[in-house]
Amino acid sequence: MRVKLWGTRGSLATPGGDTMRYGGNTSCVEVRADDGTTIVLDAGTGLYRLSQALGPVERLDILLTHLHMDHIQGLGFFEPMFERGFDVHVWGPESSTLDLRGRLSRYLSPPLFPVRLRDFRCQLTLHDVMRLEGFRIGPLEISVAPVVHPGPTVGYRVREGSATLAYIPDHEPALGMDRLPEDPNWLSGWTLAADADLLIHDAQYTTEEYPEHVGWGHSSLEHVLEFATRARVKTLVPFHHDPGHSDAMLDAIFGHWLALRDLPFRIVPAMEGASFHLSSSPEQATATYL
Amino acid sequence: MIAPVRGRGIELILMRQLASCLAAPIVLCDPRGDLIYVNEPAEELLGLRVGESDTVSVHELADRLCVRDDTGERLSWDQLPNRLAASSGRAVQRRLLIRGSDGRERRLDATAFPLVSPVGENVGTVSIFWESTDEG
Repeated sequence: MRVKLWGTRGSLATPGGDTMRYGGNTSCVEVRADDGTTIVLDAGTGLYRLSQALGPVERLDILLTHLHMDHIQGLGFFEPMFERGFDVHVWGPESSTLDLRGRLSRYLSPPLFPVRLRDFRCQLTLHDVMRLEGFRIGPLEISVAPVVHPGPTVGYRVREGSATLAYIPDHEPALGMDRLPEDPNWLSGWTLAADADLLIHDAQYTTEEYPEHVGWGHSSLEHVLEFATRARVKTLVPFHHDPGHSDAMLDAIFGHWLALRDLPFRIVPAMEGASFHLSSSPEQATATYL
Repeated sequence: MIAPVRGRGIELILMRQLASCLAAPIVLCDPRGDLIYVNEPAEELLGLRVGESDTVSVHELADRLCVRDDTGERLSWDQLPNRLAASSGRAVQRRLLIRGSDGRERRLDATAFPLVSPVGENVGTVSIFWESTDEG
C-alpha cells in the first residue's frame, strides 16, 4: 500500500513562503493499493493537486472523516467529478437528521458554491458510514468508527494484507481529561489506531496552545505522542498543522519533542508530497519523499 | 468479513468525560444495564467503587446495593431506573433506598435516561442521583 500526503494543513489553507515545506493545502491523503485501487482520505484543498496527478483509474472512492470546510473544499475542484460517467463514490458521516447527500448539499449549492451536487457529471454514489463498521474497496479493508470531534466525525483504518494505516486527522481524545484513560476501551480512536503501521493523526496545537482551544476538536502534540504510545503504532505522522504555524515553528515544535522523549515509535511530521510505502511484510513502514 | 473496530460508543466516552468533570453523582451503564462507570461524587454517595476496566452486572448491582423502593420493598434488577430507561427509551425517575458497600443506608432520588446514538442505537444509560431530604 502506498500513501501520499496531498494536504497536511488544518482548518485553513495557508499558501505562502513560510509554509512551503510542511505545506499549505488542507487535508487530503491518497492511498493506492498494490493492484492500483485508489482511495482518497478527505477532500481538502490538496485534492486539487491530486486531480492533476491521478492518472488512469476506473473508479475513485473518497472517504470523508467529517464535513468541515477544510475537509471538503476540494470536491468542487476535483476534475473527475466533472467527467461524464466516471465512477466516483463518496463515503462520509450522516447526521441524525440529514444523510450525506443532504449535508454535502449545504456547501455544494449557492450561495456558498455555484455548482450543485446534482450538477457533477460523474456517476456519483454517496454512502453514509455511521451505521457501518467496515466495508471493502478492492483489496482494501476499511474500518470506520466515530471519534471525539465536534459534529459527526469518524476515523478510518485501512488494511491491505498485514499493512495497516490509521487516519484520524481531527481528534481530541484528551477532551475533559487530565490524562488519557488507562483502559483503551474508554479511549476515543484506540480501536482504529491499535498496532497500526502508520498513524496519521491530528497534532494541531502545542502544549501551551491547547488550554485555549479545549473542545475545538484537536490535539496537542503531547497528547498525540501519548495516544500513539498507547496504540503501539510503528510510525506516527503528526498532521493537520495549525494555520498559524510556519515551517520554522513546526521545526522547533517537533524538534523539541523529539529531543525530549525516547519514543517507542518513529515520528515523521506530515509534509505535503511525502509518500509512505507500507509493506505487507512485518518490517516497519518506510517513508520516502518525492 | 471485516473485523469491527468499535470499542465503547463515542457517546458513552463523551458522557464519561463530562461526568468526570461534574459535581453531580452520575453512573453510566451499558445497554444491558451493567454498570461501567461511576464518577467520584457517585462513588461517595453510593459507597461504590468501580475500577476503570471493571463492570458490575445489573444483577450484582441490585444485590450489592440492596435496592428497595420508598416503601422498603426490594426491587429486582429489571426494576432499576437504568433498566427501565433502557427498555422504555425514556427518562425514568424513582425514589430508592439503598445500602452502600460502606453499610450506610441512603434515600435517593434517581433519574435515568437512555443515550441514543445519531443512528438510533441505544448505547447505554445515564443515571443521576440526589440524596433525598425528608421533605422529598
